[in-house]
Amino acid sequence: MSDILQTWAALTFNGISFGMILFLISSGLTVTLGVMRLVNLAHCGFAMIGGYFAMAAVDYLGFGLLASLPVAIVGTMIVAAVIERTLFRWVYGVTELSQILMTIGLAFVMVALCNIIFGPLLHALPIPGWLTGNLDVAGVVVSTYRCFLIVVAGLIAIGIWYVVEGTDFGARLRASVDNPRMARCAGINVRRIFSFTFTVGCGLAAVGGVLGSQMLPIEPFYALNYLILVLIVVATGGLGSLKGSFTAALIIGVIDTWGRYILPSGGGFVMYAIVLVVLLARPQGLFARA
Amino acid sequence: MTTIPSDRPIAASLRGAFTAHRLNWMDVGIWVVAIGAYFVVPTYLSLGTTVLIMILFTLSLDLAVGYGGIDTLGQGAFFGVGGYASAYWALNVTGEPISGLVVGAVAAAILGIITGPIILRARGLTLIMLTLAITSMLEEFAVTAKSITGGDDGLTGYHILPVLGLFRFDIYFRTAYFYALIVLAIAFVIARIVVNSPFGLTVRGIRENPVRMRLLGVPIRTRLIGLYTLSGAMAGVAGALSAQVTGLIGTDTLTFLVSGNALISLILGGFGRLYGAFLGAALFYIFSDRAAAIDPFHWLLGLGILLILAVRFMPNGLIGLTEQFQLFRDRRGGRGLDRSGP
Amino acid sequence: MAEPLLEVAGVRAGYGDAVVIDDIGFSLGQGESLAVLGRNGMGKTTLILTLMGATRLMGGQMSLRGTRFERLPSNRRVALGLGWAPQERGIFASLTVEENLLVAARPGPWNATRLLDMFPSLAQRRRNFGNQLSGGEQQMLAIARALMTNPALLLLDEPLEGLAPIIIEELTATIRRLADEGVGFILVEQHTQLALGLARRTIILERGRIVFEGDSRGLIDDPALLVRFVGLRGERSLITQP
Repeated sequence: MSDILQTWAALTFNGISFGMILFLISSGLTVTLGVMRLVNLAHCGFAMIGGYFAMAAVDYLGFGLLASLPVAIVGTMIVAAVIERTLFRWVYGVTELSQILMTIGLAFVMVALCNIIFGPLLHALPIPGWLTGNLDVAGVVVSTYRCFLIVVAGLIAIGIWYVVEGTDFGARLRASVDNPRMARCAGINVRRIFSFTFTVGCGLAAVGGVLGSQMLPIEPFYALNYLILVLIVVATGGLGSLKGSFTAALIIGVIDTWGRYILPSGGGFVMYAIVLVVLLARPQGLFARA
Repeated sequence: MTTIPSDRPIAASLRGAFTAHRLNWMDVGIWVVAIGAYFVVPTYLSLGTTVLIMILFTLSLDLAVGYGGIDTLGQGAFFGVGGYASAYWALNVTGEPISGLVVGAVAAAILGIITGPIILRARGLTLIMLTLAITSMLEEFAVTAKSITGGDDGLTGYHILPVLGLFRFDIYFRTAYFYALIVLAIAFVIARIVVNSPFGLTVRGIRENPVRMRLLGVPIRTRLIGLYTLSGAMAGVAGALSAQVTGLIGTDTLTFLVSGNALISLILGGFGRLYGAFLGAALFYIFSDRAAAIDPFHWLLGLGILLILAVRFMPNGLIGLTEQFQLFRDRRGGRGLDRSGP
Repeated sequence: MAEPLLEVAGVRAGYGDAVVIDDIGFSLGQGESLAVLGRNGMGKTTLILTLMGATRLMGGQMSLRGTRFERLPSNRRVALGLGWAPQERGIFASLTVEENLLVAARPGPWNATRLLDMFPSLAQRRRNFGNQLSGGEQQMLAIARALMTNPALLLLDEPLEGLAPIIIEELTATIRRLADEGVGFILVEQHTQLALGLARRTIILERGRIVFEGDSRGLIDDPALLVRFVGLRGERSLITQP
């Protein structure tokens, strides 16, 4: 395969794997915004917390990457459940701007605590031996780990899709997103659905944080650095639309990767410009809910 | 109250502007404190000047958010654009400061007029995202276009001439402090006039009840764009001031952190009351300067906790608290609240 | 008389600071039907919304089969026995007809099979999404979904609005069958004559207060009150006798 084609194929591949990580992290926020209209700017912080849990498991318990994943997920979900039951009680009735400020405050607290506990250095979680190196996929040489990422994230995405579209719980969730008031008046306990979904969403973010640490290294400012990226995915995909954030995540992942390759110091510019255009054309996002 | 002769309309509207928003101890108090600080803490004038500039910036944000209901996290874009424009002006044309301010204001206003009509079609989260996207774009552009903006290093090395040819900028920030103070005072007067003018009242009406305003035939988008541009121009002046008194402008002015800080100041001080900017920004920037010097991460922790508590307990900011206190005192003193006024 | 199904006393409610209905009190027995009439904006829908818990309650009490529910959240009221078919239908757009029914399912004699039998046109579209239905079909689905909760009391807010006459006939027959099956209902309707024909008792709201309470029969026989409060001049009736 010619060099240029190889480069572009590899770039696209990397872009897709990056997009998958973005999707994992953003999926929770999409549903949170969709169901409870809650702007949670601390969401990226949960991905970060997941990363730190995994790091602790690796450093102090000697776990490998995959073994640390359940530790990260459970740990993050516990933290999420506690925060949801306490702090977020205060956040439901206030204006959007106030929600933004309060959750940013929470993000600051997360950043500061992580720095105090773990220090300011960047960490990437170690990849197990069998996932290092490269693979030849249809003539294109790509990193094995990124293949793994795409497969795992893809499976999770399919799992999410199945739960949401094919189960009773998923039907109740979709009803709550469509029309929360009517859902309540049809007997659905929207509150409980939200708590559960929020917690699971944070767990998914943790998976994204752990598996994506090669691309998004774990450090105290993680919660803020990648926030814009996540927000962009959610906003362009359409609030409450998982299909939308999946599509947007992939597109943004690919565009960002290509952009940084073409214009190394200004690659982000291209992405923001495209986001601007999309949001202007369709302010509710690509796949907004009815 | 003496009547104002009708052949002096400007004085009349000035008078009207001040009496429309009840004149109270705040009006006098703030300026006394500001002027007094010059004499009381002469070694802290550098911090003081920064505070004054940030008050101006926060004031501009209050116009957009507090009065116009325009949720924006992109005010930093105006600050940065104004700063870069005036730095560029000083580097390549003249170091005369007042023209530099004008250039900063105009550049920011142009940004406002261009982006306003486009993004103000959206509301809520989408609008916030759009303002973020614009700011991020400008930031990336500033980092990339090294020849114009100096890239990561920013623009520096320009010399600012004495204000009005008389007052030189000194290393103790004495001139800078009063320069900033006067600019702030002028901006404040302008803000007051605008807010109490028919234009300002319709904007407030738009924020509170847009449907009604539309039914009354008020051109909503135009008004909002006008307010947005004005607020942007003011932020541009703040940026120009910053570039002039510190002799440096960098890409960190274009981050959403800058806008976020101003928003936090407003939440502390209170939205939609103009004075909230003074109280909140002064508190915030003085605190952050002192605390960050000690330990930035403990400061961040404290700030985070403060934000959470502030939203929970003080949705109207400190000004809201003092107003409630006034209400409480009035009632106890037996003075009934007469709500039947004009 | 047996224990009343629904008892409402001194209810005052509205939105924000605005009071829309005041001093509302009435009761309904098991399996009884009540029509709520009144001009637009007089508080009919607000009354229904208040029963469901979607407004700001400023005073009063409400109980179903002796259990007080004014403090319960909406989903608990459904569990208690209230079912609601709203004026705007509120069909979940991202759910199929079948799913719309299933999410509301609660134990009892009404189930999806039975309801799809009752509404054959819905059965035909069972896999269509909520936003792919016609107005009449959405209305039928709204009622069917409310029945899926197996309510003791069904709240119907303008179920016949904007529908073709043939659909109106179909739905009216369905509502009549409810009465036969012992399901009590409260019916808000602009089609005054229809409403009077369907519900045994009627209340009329004017400016948020009850200005008439009594048998529907009385209003049919003496329409002066109707003319006064509902403005019936010149309305053709579609159904004459209950």
